[in-house]
Amino acid sequence: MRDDFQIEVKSLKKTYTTYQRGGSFAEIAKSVFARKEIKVEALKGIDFSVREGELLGFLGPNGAGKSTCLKILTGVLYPSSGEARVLGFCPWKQRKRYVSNIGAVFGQKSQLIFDIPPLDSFLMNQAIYGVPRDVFKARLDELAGLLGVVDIMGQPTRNLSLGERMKCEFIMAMLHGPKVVFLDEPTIGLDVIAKEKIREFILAMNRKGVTFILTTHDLADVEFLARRVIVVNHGSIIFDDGIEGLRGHFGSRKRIRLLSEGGQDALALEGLRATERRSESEVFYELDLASCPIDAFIAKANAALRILDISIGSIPIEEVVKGLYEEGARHSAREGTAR
Amino acid sequence: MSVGQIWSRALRSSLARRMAYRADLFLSVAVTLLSELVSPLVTLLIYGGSSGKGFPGWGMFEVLLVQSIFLMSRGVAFPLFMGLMYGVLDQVRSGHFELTLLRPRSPLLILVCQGLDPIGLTRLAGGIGLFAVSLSRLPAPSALGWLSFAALFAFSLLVLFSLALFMSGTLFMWVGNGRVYELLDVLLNFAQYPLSIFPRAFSLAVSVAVPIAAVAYVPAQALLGRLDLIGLLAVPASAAFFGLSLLFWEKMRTRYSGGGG
Repeated sequence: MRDDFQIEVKSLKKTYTTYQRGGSFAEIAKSVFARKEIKVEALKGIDFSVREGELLGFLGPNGAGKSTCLKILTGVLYPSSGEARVLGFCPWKQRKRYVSNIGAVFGQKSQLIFDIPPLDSFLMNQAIYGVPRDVFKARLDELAGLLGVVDIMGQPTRNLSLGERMKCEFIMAMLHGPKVVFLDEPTIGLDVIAKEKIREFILAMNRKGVTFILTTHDLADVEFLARRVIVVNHGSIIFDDGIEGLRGHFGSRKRIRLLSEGGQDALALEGLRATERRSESEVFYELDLASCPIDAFIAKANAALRILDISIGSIPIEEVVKGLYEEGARHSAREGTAR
Repeated sequence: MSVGQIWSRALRSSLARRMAYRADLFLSVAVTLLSELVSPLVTLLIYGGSSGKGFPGWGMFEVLLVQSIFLMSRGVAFPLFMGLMYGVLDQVRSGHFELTLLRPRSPLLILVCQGLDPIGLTRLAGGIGLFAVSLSRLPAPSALGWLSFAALFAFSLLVLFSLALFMSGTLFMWVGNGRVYELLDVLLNFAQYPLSIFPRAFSLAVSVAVPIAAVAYVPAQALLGRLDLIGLLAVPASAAFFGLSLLFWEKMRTRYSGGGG
C-alpha cells in the first residue's frame, strides 16, 4: 500500500447470500420449509485509491454495489475477499480504532435520537468518542454556525424539518474531527436552499483537508462538489476520472440551441445532429467537436442562415451518466450471454 | 472517556426521552407494576384459601420471598440491560445496526446504553416492598446469609444478562423474530417458583444447563439458610453460561450482513 494514498482498495469482492421465492401461495408455503438460495456478487473485485483532501463522487445505479463498498470501507461489513486500507487501518479488522477517525452521514438512516433535541445526541457522541469538553464546544459552535442551526439544537428532533435534521446529522458526523467522511445520499429529499447550504458546508470542510467520499443520485451534488468521479455498475468500476473527463466520456460534444429567420434545412454539417425541433426556426443540435470545431460551425451557420439567437452549452451530465449506466448494463448482459 | 461516563450520558438521554411523553410515562409505570404483581397475588390466593393448599415444604412468605427476589432481579436487569434485545431486534431489521458499528466502542456497550429504560425501576420498587414484607414474617437471616445473598444476587443478574445475550444473538440470524420476548417469559416463569416443586431432572437442568434457578430460587435459599448442592452448582454454571452467551453473541454479530443500500 502506498503512503500518499489515504484510501487504497485492491480486488475487493463481496458476495451476498439471499433468498428468492415466487409470488404464488404454493411458492410462499414452500419457502417456509425450503428457501431457494441465490448468490449476489455485489462487488466483483474493485480497485481504486484516494488521496488526502480529495472529494470523490461515487456513482452508480441502484444495486450497483456502491453502498456495499461504502459499508465495507466504514468497517460495517466484511468483504468476501480483497484488501482495503483507510488511514492505515484495515476497516473491518481494526474497526474500533479505525472508526474514531472517520465520519459518516446516511441520508436515509438517522443517527439522532428522535424524541429529544439534537444537542442531547451531540453530547452522547461526545461521550462515546471521548471529545474533550473545550474541543467539543469549539467544534459545535463552529459547525452549528456554518450550518445555521444554532437556534434549533434545543428543539426535539421530531419537530425539525428534514433539512434541519440533515444539517444536525452532519454535525453528528463531524464533531469528533474525522479525517475521512463517507456520505451516502446526504441531500436526498432536501429543498434547493438546504442542499446549497449542505454543499457549501462540505466544501468548507474539504478546504480544511477533510476527505469526502460522496455517494448520490443527485448529479448536481457531484457537479458542484466532486473533482473526481468513480462510476460503479454491476459490482465493477466502469469509469474513474475527473469531472471534466466524465463530461467528455462519449467524445467532446456541445449542445446548441439555434433560433433563425426561416427554416434551418440548409444547415447540414458533418458531426451535427438535430436532437429536437421546436419549430421550423428553433432547433436543438448536438455537435461533435472532433468532426466540426465550434468556430467552423458558427461560420457555416452564419453563412447558411440569418441567426436571431444562439446558445452553446455542455452536454448535461445526467445524459453522460445515463449513457454510462446503459453501457454497463449492455456489457453485463453480454457477459451473461457469453456464460 | 470511561464506560461510566458514556453510561451516565445515555441514562440522562433515556430519562429525557421518557419524560418527553408524560402520559406514556405514567401509564407505563402503572402497567409495569400491575403486571409484575400477578404472580405474588396468585401465591396469596393459593395460600390464602381455606383448603390449606400450597407448595410442599414452602410457607407462603418463603414463596413470596422467591418472587420478590425475582421482581428485584428483573427490576435491575430490565432498566439496565434487557433493552439490548429490543435494540438488536429493531436495528438488525432496519439496518440501523450499521450506525452502532460506526461508533468506536463495543457494539454491545452501545446497545446496552441505548436500551437503558428507567421505567423498569418500578419493578424494583415493587420487589423491594414485597421483599421487606416477606422478610418481616420470616426468621432474620444470618450475616453469612446476607453476604451469600448479595453475591448470589449478582449471579442472578449475570444469568439474566446471559439470557439477553443468547436471545438477542439469535436475532442476527432470525431477523425480526419478535417472539424472543415470549420465549424469555416462558423460561423465566420457571424462575419464580421454588425448585422443589419440579421433578429432579428438571431442577438439575434449570440449575446447571440453563441456570435460571440462580435468578431467584438460589439467592432466596441463601437468605433462608438452606443452600444445597443444586444451589451451589448454579454458581459455576452461571459463570459458564455467561461465557458461552458472550461467545455466542460475538459469533452471531459477525453474521450481520447489512440492510440494503
